Amino acid sequence: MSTIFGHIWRSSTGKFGLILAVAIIGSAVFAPWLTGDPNRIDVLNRFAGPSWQHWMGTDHLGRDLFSRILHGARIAMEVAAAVTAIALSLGTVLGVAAGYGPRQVERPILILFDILYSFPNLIFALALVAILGPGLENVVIIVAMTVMPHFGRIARAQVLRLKHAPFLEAERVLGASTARIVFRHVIPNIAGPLIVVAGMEVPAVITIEAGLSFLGLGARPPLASWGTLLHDGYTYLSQSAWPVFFAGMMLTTATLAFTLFGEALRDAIDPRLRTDP
Amino acid sequence: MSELPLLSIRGLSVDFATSRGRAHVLRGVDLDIARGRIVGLVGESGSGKSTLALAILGLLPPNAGSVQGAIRFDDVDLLNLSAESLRSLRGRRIAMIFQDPMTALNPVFTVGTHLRDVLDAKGSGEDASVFNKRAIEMLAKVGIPDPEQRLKAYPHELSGGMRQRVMIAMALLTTPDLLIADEPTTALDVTIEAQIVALIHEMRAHVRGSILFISHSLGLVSELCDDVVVMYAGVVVEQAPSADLFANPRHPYTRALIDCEIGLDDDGGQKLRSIPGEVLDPVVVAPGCTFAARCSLAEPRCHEQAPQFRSVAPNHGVACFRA
Amino acid sequence: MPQPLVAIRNLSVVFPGPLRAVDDVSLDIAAGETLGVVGESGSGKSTLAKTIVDLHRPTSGQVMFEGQSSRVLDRLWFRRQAQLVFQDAASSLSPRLTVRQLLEEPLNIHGLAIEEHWAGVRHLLGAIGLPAQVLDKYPHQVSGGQARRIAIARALVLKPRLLIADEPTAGLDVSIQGDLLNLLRELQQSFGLTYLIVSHNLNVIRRVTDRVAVMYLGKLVEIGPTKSLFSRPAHPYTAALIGANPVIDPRRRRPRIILRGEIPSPLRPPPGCRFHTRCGFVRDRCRAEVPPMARIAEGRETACHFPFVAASEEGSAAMPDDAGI
Repeated sequence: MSTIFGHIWRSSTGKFGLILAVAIIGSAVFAPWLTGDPNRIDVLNRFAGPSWQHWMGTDHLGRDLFSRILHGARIAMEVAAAVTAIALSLGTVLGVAAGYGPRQVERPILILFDILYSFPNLIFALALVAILGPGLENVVIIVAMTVMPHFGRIARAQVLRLKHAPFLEAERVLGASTARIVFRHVIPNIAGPLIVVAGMEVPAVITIEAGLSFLGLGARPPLASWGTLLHDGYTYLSQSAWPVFFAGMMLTTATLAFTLFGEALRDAIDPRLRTDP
Repeated sequence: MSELPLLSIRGLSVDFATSRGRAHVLRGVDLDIARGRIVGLVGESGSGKSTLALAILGLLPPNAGSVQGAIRFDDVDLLNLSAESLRSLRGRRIAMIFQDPMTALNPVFTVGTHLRDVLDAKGSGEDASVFNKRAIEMLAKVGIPDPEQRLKAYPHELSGGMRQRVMIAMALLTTPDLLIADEPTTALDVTIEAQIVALIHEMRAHVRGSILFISHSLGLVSELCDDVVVMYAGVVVEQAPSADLFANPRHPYTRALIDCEIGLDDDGGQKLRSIPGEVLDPVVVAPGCTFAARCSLAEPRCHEQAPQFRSVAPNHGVACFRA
Repeated sequence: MPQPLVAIRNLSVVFPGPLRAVDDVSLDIAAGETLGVVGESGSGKSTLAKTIVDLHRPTSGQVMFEGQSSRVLDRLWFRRQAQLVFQDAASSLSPRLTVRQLLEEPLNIHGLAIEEHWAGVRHLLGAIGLPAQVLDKYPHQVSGGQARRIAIARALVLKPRLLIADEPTAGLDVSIQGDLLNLLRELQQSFGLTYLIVSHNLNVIRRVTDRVAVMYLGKLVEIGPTKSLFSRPAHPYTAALIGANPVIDPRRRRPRIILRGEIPSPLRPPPGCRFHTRCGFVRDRCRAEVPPMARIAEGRETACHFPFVAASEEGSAAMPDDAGI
């Protein structure tokens, strides 16, 4: 573990991404202590520019933007963590079942992956929202479903690589049950690439959540998601550009930070997964 | 040996840069290969025999830090040769057969293309029909059935034994003065190994030069080779004509190695022999004999001073104080 | 004759292709003996070994352990009877477990209390010559020789009666292979083991086994006591294998039989006797008729229409010197 960290720290972009990502996660976790109530309305102070009192100004209801953006980070991180956890575990279970199980199990799982994979993420999410209705919980489920096949396919490919490895046969000869082989010997050996994919998926999840919230399908007002901040800011762009500027910058920074961190993590754990030219 | 040897190596040392420090893979190798002989080079893993072969060919990997000593091939010092001259020497006068022909054959080229490349490198400048005739003759000579068809085959379509025959055909087309065969039969089944060894034996007539046959199998070397060179931990410890060496081994390592072989009369009554201890770590700089730590005859000076390679009988050399 | 420990009856293992990796093989392994299986690539010797420990399903025929088919036996009970040491010992150790965890694994699988059995494991480590320091290492941190010893220790933790070793000396230098073979013998004596040793190394087989089975393209072609089989091989293939084995001492060399041709693909085995395409003594009958295993002498059987050792046992038509091509 320390060697992985050291590897990331030695790469300048990795170090940059790591510091930023830690800062974002930290501000998300400590948002309630760092700032005031994100929903406190102060109509007399609408569309204020940055000042000592409101570092990033205020929005159309006079709410403190800095506070809302930090609370937005909270939502973004919660959604990213929940989505990654669900997609990672479900994808791993299905991928391992497809790779290690008999054909009758493998076929339907692969078809499911193909179906989920064949829709563009956002379109698919829109369709599901139409069925399930808007709301953050639904965003989590929907986004998890759209990224789950990434994990599933990687898990299956890794399992196929290992399936006939002598060490798994050796465990069978010792009498280990299939469940024991899968949980104790297969999954620990495919975890590396899956963690890498998880790291790479975080920025994508942040963007999709913001996009859905922007469209009014995710976080509902008055919740301060970066997507709703952007949406509100966009509506009142003629009055003040600050909300759009800060929310957009935050979204960009977060995406960049987690992308750089994810790439460094990939290089540290498994350089063979590198896809750049 | 009145004649000048074909290949003469003196004090050859090769170091590799590793994460643990400098690995001394060859620690001052002295070796002569006489003209027209099959010389067996035996040694266990870590003895440096493959590195020696690569050094002769000028194919050492880039992390080979320092290369010292001299390799004289027909009075040309190979270590001071330009990359260009070395390449031309490899195509014309020195050929190599590898343990795994699959790594030496290019998977996207047919057998015919490989053979044509060899002839092109020689600059024989023949037209296609003459070339085809020579290639087919050579494939037939190395025992490949349907040689016309095989010219169009890709390496993966051939069995391991057939690939090794193609390698031999390529090597013979260069009519080399020196053919280096690095464990050419290790990856093959015994009955196929016997065929390839018989083929190499037969090929002697066609190779005017010498063969350096690298192997870990004492039996194979004894059956095939005129002379035997024994390496241990980067040093040549003994060199002698085959019959002499196996009948009368002088170096304690050679003796121990022969003792480790399972004899024909061994009916399981006694324990099998082994050599206790481990091969000298290549990172360690040892002032004395590289075998001293495992040698049952070692005396104090063996640990302090490296024994010089010296002649103990005609054509029989040993690097040991006690021999 | 007492009941054999393992009885293999008409065993065939067919992989998709169809590839008849093991074709109608019958043999017995007596308790306490060491049986060797030799053969070249495609002979099916490793498949046979893996089928005995139930890693491959027999397509037909059966493997019986003390008279009962391994497929109906209680799985865990059966696992405690027969264990396999893989050819590539280092990669048969689960890479993310320490050696200690690897050795505890068999106990955990079989629900045996570690506190109660660990003393036995420590004793085993001593017998195998593994220092206690390796316990906290990972498989990639130990040497090839140690990995092999760890694999043997794991197999013996369950105190099996049959130990199968697939190419036990492959990849080992001559200077240390003796140690490993001595160890196998010592373990056999102290634990009362029965061995099945699969190898292509005839020197090893000749030295450590009591009986040898020779396989060619999935078929058993000869079986018999090691000494008699090596001194008077009955099947031309056995004779060729022995003849192809290089010998150091020039005075001891036999005339080499060099087989012509390649080993045919097991996907398209020749009709009749599978060896007929390479046999120096082939006759018309060999091309048409599959030779059955037949007794030729006490304890010796071969599948050849014209074996070197005559059925009458008298003076055997000794192997001609100019055998083969």
